[in-house]
Amino acid sequence: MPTGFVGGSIKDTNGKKITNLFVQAFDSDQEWFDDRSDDILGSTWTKNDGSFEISFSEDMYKENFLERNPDVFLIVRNSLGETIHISEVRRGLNKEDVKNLTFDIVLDSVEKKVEYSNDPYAQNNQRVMAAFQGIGESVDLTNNDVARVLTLLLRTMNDWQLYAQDISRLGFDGPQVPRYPWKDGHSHELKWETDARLRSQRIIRGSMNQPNRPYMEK
Amino acid sequence: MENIIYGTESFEKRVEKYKPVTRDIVRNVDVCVIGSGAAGAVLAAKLAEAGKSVVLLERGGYYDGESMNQREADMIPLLWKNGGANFTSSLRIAVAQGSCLGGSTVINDAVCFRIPDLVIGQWRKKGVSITKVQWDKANAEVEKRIHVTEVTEDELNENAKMLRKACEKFRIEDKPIKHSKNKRNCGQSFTNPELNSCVKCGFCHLGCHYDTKQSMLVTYIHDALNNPKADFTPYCNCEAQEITFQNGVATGVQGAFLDVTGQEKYRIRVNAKVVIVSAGAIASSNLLQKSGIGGPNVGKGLALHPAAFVMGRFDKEINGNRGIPMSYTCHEFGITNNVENGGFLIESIFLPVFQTAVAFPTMQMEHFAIKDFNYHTMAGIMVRDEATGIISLTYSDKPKVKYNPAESTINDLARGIGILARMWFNIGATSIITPHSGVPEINTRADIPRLRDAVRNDPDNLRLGAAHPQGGNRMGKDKSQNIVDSDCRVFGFKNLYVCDASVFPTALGVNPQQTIMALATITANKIIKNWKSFPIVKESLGKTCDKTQPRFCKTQTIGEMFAVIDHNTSLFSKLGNSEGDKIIIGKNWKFDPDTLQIYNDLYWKGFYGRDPDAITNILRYFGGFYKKFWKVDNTTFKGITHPFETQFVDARSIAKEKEIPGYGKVIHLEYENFPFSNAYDVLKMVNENTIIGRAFIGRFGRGRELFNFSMSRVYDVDFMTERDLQTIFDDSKLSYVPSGREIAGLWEGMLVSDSAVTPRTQVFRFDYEDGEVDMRYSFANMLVGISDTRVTKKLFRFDDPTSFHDEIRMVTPDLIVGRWVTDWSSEDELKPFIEDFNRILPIPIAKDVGNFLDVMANTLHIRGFPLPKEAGVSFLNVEKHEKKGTRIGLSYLLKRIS
Repeated sequence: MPTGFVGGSIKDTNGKKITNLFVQAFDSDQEWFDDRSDDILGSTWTKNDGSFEISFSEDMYKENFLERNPDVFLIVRNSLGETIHISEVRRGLNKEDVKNLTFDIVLDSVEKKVEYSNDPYAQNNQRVMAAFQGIGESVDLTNNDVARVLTLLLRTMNDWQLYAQDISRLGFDGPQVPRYPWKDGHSHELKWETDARLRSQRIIRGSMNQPNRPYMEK
Repeated sequence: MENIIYGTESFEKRVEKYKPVTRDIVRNVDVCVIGSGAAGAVLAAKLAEAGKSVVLLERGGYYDGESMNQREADMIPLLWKNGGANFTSSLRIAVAQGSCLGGSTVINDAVCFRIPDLVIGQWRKKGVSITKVQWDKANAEVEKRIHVTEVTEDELNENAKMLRKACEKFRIEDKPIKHSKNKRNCGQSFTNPELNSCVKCGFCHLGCHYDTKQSMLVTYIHDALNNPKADFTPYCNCEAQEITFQNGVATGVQGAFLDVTGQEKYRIRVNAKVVIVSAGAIASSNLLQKSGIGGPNVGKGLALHPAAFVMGRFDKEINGNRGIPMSYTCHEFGITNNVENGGFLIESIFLPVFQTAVAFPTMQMEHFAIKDFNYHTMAGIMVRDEATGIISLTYSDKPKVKYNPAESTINDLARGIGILARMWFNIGATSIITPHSGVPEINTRADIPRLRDAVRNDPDNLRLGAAHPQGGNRMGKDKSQNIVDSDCRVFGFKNLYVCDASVFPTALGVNPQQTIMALATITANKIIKNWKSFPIVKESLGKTCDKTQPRFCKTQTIGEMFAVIDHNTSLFSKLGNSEGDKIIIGKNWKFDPDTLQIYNDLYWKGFYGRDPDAITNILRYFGGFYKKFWKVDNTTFKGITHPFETQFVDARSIAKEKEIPGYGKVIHLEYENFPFSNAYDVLKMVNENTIIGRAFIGRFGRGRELFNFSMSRVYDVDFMTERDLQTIFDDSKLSYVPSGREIAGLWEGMLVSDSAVTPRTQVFRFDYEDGEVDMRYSFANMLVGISDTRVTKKLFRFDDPTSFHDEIRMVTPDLIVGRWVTDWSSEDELKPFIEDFNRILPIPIAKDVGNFLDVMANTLHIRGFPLPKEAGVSFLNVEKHEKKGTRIGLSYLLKRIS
C-alpha cells in the first residue's frame, strides 16, 4: 500500500512545460547510520503537461529502526538517460509530508550539463607533453644526429630563457592585446601606430557581448 | 537550418554557435570532409551551399580571434600541429602546419600566389588534365571570396622596404632583377567591422586576433555556418581514424573525439555518399595508410619547400616585427621568373622572437648580437625542392616523415643564402647572421664563398624550416604511380577523394594556399556535376555506442541507457540459448564475412564498458564471462554464469520477470548458490540479441548497485573467442589457404582470448616475388625476425626460430585467422609450461630469442604477480586432439594494413 507520493512539474525558463523527461525519486541514505546506497522509490516520465507522479511504499526506503521517513530527492534524465538535474534533498519529513511531496522544477536546458572554462590556454602544458610523447616512434636518429639535436635543443632552451628574461631590453614590442582579451578591456591600436586614421578606430573591448557580432550564442 | 560547431572543449562564449560533444555520434550525410584547411573548408562550404548535407571532421580545436592573444607560449600549442613539435625523422626540419578549425590558413602569413603557368604545364605533362582556363576561373572565384589584394605602399614595413631596396640595388650582369609586393588575403573583419584591412600587428603565425586575415575560419566556414540553407556541421577535436570501404566504395569514416592528452572521449561514425580527405600533406597520407588504401605509393614524393633565414645587422632601427611579416618577394631566381627546375624565392619575413631563437643556431656571442633585435632585417630563401620525402606508418599508426634535401636543393639553398647575404651587405649591413651552425656569422662580403661552401659541404648543420609540405598522394594519369586522378578521385574508388597539397605532383614553388583553394574549387564543382554517379549511403553504427550494441558503450552510458530503456517483455521467451555446447554452423553459430560479425547462440557473451581505465581494461581482457539459459517453463529460465578463464566461478541462477518499483518490469536473475546468492542481476532485453544489465549486492529490490554490463549473441570479430576462431579456421567454407600473391602486404595482428581481442601486438610483412613468399614479423615491438613459409593443403605455415610455428588461413582479403603453436606433443610434456602460464600474469621480456621455448621455461624474466592456480591466463590456448595429442599456443587475428 503506498504511503508516499511525490509529484510536480518540470518547465523551462520560459514557463513552457517539458514532456518526455525521466524522473526518478530516491531516498538519500548518506547519513552515518545509513548504508550509503540511496534507495530508488520509483520513476516515471513527464506527461504532456510536464507533470509527473510517483507513489511508493514504506518498504522501498525503510532499512532500520532509525530510519522513519525518507529523505527525498529527484534525478531528472533526458530521453538518452543523461542526468540533467538533481534536486535538493528534502529532509526532516514527517508522515504527512511524505504523502504529498511536490517538486516544481525549472530547467534551462534538457542537455547534459557541461562545465565551462574560460581559459583556453589552461591545459597547454598537457598538450605539449602529449605532443612530445608522440614523437618517439617517428624519429630515426644516427649517433651523429643525436649530438647535433641535443646541442640545438639546449641552445634553443637557453635562447628562450634569455629572451624571455630580456625581452623588454631587446626592444621587442610584444603582444598588443592582453593575455585574456575577452575579459580585459583593450584597444586595437598598435603601440607604434602613429597614423591618426587608425587611432580613431580605437575600440575598447570588455566582453564578448558586442552588438556588432550577430552570431554570438546568447 | 541552424548549423553548430561541436568539439570536446567547453568555453562559455564563442562567436559561432558551438556545443560540446557529450556522447558518441552517428551521422548519415551526403559528404564527409576530413580536414578544415585551405581545401577542406572550400569543399565543405561549396558542397553545403550546393544543397548537400556535409560533415567536416577537424583534428584541432575551434578558437575565436578573441582567443588569439599573440603569445607564442599560449597560441602555438592551441593552433599548431603537435604543438609545434612536428618534425622530420631526423629532427632537423620543423614542419609548421596548423591544427585547428581553419587549418594552416589560421597560422600562415596570408600570402597569395596563383599557380605559375610553368607549373600548370609541368603538371599537365605528368598527367594532370586541369587546364589553365580552369585554374584561372577557380582562382578568380577564390580571390574574390577571400579578398586577395596587393599590399599597399603604406602596408610595407621597414623590413620589407629593406628587401625592396636590396633588390633594387642588386644586379645580375648589370640587369635589374624581378621583385614585387605580395598579394594577401586580408580584409574587413566580420567581428570588428570598423577594421577593414590588416591591422599589421605582425602576429600572423599566432592567429589573427582581429579577424582581418581572411582565413578559412572567417570566410568559407563562417559563411557556410551562417547560411540558413546549408546543412553543415563541423566536428572539432575529432580525429578521423579509418575510412571504411567495400569493393571500391567508401562507406564512411570512423573517428574519435580526443581530449588534450590525445585520449579518446567519444566516437563518431559518419556514413557518407562521398568521402573527401583534405587533412593536409602528411596527415592525408597517414590516413590512407592507416585505412589500407592506395597501396605502396602512398606517402611517396613529399616536398617541403625548405626555407633558410638570413638576418642582416644595420646601424639603424628596423623594428622588423612591426607590421606585416611577409609582404615582399624577390622572384628573380624562382618559378615566378620561369626557372623551370628548382630555384627559390627570397621572401621578406620577420619571425616572432621565440621562432627567431629556434631558427638561428646561435652561440653565446650571437646572443648578444640578437639582442639588437630591432636593428636586424630578416628574409627567407624558400626553395622549390625535389620531392624526395617519404611518409611511412609507425608501429602505432603515426606518420614518420623521412626527408633529406636533394643535392640540387642544397645547391639552391647555398646560392640563395649567398645572394641574400650579398644583398644585405650591398645596402649597408655590418654583419650577417646565417642559418648555418658552422658559420653562424659573417662580417664581410669576402666570407660569402666560405658560407656557401659550408652549406654545400656540411648541409647537416644548416637550420631549415618548412611550412608547405606537398605531395605524398600524387595526382596523375598513371594509376600504377599515382594515387588520385585529375578529379582528385582515388584510383579504384567511385566516391573517395583526396584534395589538398598532398596531391601535388611536384613542389609548387610558391606559397601554396591559394592553389590549394583553387584545386578544391575545381574538385567541388566536379563532384557536384557527377553527383548522380555516387552510390547511396550505407548506414552503419560503426563502433559507436548504441542501445543495440552496448559493447561499444562506456560503463556510465550503459547505466544511463539502463535507467530509461524499458525491458521488452515480448522477448522474454527468447532468453534461452541453444542446448549443449556443440557449435552447429548455420544453426546456433553463424559468421557474416561482409559485416565481420558472429552470431553465437551457445551463450550470451558478456561485455564490460569500453572505458580506458586500468580496471576496466583488466576486466576486458581477463575478466570475460558468459551466461547461458535454458527454459523451465513460460515464466522461468535456469541459467549459469561463468567467467571464460576459470572454472571456479560457477553461479547458478533462476531468471523470472518481476516488477521492481523504479525499474518497471524487468528480468530478475536470482543466484542460487553461495556465495553468489548474496547478489542478483536485473536485466532488460533491448532486442532479441541484446541485453543490458546491472549487478547488485544485497536484498532483492533494495540491493547496492555494483556495476553495469551488457550481453549479446551478436558481436564483431574484435570480440571473438578462441573457439570462434577455431571454428572459422577449421571450416573450408569460412576460410581458405591464401596464395602468396593474396597474402602479400603488411598486416597487424591482435591476440584472441575468450574475453576480447587485444589492440595490435604484432606486425607481419609478407613479400611475394616470383613465386616466393618472404615473411618478417615484429611482436610487441620487441621481438623481430623472419620466418620460413610453406603452404600445405589445409594451411599456410611459417616457422620462426623458436619451437613454435604459425598456421594461418584467410577469411577475407583483409582478414586472416591464425595460431602460433607448438608441435603436437603429450600433455605431460607440456604440463609445466601450461602451469607456468597459468600461474603468472606475464609481461615477458626475453633475453635470448634463440630458442623461445627454452627461454620462456628457464631464463625468461617474467615480471608480474602470481595468480591462484585455478585462475587462467586469457591468451593461452590449450588444444587437444584425440589422435595427435596436445599443443599450446596463441590465437590471433590479422587485419590488413596495406
